[in-house]
Amino acid sequence: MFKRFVVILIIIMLLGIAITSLSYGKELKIIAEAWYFDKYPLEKAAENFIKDHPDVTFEWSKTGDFEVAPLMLAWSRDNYITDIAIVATPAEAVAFQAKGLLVDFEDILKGEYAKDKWLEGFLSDCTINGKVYAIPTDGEIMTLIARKDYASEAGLTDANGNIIPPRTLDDFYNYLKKLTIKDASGKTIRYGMDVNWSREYMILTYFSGIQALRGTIYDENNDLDFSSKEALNLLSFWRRGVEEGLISTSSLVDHSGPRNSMKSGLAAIMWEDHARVVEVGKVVGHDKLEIMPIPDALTNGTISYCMSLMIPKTAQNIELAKAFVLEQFNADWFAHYLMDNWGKLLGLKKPLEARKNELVWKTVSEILENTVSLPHMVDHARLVDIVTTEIQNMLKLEQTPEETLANIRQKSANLDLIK
Amino acid sequence: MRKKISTTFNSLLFMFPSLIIIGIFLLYPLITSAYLSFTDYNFVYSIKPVFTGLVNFRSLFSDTYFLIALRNTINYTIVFFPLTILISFLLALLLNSKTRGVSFFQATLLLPIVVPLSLAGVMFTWIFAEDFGILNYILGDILKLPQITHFWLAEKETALNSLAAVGIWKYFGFCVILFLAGLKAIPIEIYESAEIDGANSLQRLIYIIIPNLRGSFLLVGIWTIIQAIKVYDQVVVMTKGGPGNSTLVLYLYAWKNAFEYFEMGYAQTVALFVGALAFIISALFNLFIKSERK
Repeated sequence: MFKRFVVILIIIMLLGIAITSLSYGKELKIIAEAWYFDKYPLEKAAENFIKDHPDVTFEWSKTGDFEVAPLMLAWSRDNYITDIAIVATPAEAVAFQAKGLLVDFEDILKGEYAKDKWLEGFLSDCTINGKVYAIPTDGEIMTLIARKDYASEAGLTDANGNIIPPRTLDDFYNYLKKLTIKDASGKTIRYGMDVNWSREYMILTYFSGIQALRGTIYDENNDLDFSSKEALNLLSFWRRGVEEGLISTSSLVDHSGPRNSMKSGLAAIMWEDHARVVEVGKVVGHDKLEIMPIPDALTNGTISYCMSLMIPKTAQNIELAKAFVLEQFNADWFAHYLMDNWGKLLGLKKPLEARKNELVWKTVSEILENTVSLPHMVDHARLVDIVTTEIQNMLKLEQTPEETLANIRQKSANLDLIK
Repeated sequence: MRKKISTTFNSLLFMFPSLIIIGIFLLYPLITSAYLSFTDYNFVYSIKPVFTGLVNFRSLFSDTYFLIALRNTINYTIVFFPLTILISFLLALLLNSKTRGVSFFQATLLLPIVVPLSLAGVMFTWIFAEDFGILNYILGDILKLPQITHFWLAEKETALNSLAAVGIWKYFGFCVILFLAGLKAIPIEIYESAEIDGANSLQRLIYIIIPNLRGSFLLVGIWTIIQAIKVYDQVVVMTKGGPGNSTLVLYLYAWKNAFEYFEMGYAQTVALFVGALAFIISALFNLFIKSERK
């Protein structure tokens, strides 16, 4: 009698467990850098996805910026901690893929998501050894953002009130002189420009100038260009601007310095990513800002970069994760939300093409034509440190542009810089 | 004899849980870390650590960035160490007096201890800002001394000292507590005898207070040196080692090697060097205390 009771009890328990697990369906685990939760409509995307896939639930978790090591450890040990990781840039994806930890997206890049439907610079940034291992989540191009009202006061606008872009660095220097305001003691009270020379941006800022001026970031030997005439001219232009109080160095300690300068009216132009035009516009007024190409960027392009999402091989719901990435993360509504609210681009061309009648997006589209992304480099972080240190030393007027370039060449000579 | 063995066994039994915890969370990481410092191990690109003997240690002294970090850490210590001791000692003397409102000031001075250093770093970044920072505003606009305003964190001459100022602000309250404890322990009879002998304030300071605070000075001194050697938080939050390499310090360099360059072996070598510095100073302190007791 007792044995029969125990058997029945076990059967009931097993049935209970089976029914419970069936009713739960699948759980999609997503880990993302904390800032995504403020800027991206992730919850709405999840709600929409659940409408089409009612058996799916979501579990979200936050991580710090660029926290690659914990994920690398977990994935290397075959631990399942997430289905989608929205972290860091494709440069970090290279590190993950060096250990073979990522799932590729080749199978889903077909039809309306075929590779030619994506903005080339962003997708190539996510491509490692010919395969796409990451999907762009936050695409941006390096450019200039200028105050139209200040430019107008300085006589730098056309009949329509739009800024006439400077054609050369000499032109640009004259623009800065006209836009800078100094007090009686000679102290700058409004800078002509604030350039993002922080560690986070330095290499992007430098190569955006090189690409715009030369049409390539490589020298005659096919190495990264730290030796051309244009490289020297660019550094000389920056140094002179700082020395004469025309360019602010706020970014040397704070990567938010340039946008804060623009928001507070301390600078007339900023050299950073295009997306800031929306963020700064919220404070100073969108009608007062314009995206202005770096001299020759309309012909030669600039540098693009993106953040990215990845799916680790240890994910338990790979197909579901890919479906979420395409159906919601790259949906038109999601892309337009980001463009409107934060100026950020996703990878697909369609949302940008739909907005080409707006001046901001028209200019971004034109600059994007010849824009390139930085190559993937094993020693990317070391190169960033070297370039940042040397150019910052020059901006503190401790060395000449010639010495700066020579130091970068010498210190990066033994680095592993894959092209 | 049997009782003694039984007592030892019981003692070990009681210590066992602690030993297990210390073994797992302290000894194992320490031994692994020490082993890695003798290896060439890139977290991303190496299959496994390769034993290389003393190569990493030899590399330290030909590594320009390590030497810059070492120099900056020493410079930080040179500013942070004496100023923290001096300021906290003087404040402890003030707070030890029987003036009204002393307990209020004691509580106030301890407030920085409860503020996380990372948060203090963000706050001081704004205070030190060039254009809208309150420090430049006070110096330039209120005190009318524009010639001494600076872009504190972006100038090589002031960046490291500004970080030291933040460190002093954060830690002096704790040092004041240590000094106050020492001051309270001085018997009142000594002061009374000195007063009868006609000793003035300066003589009391030199001949009574300072000699009796030798233990406190040692404790505060060693503690501040260790805090200086392992400076990290405010550097990461406020300057990230910049501008240039002006504020690159040892722990930041270890972190960079580990989590930016993924060179775990070399990073452990740098960390071990920092640990060894701290250990040597602690050992010296212990020796000193023991000799004092004898």
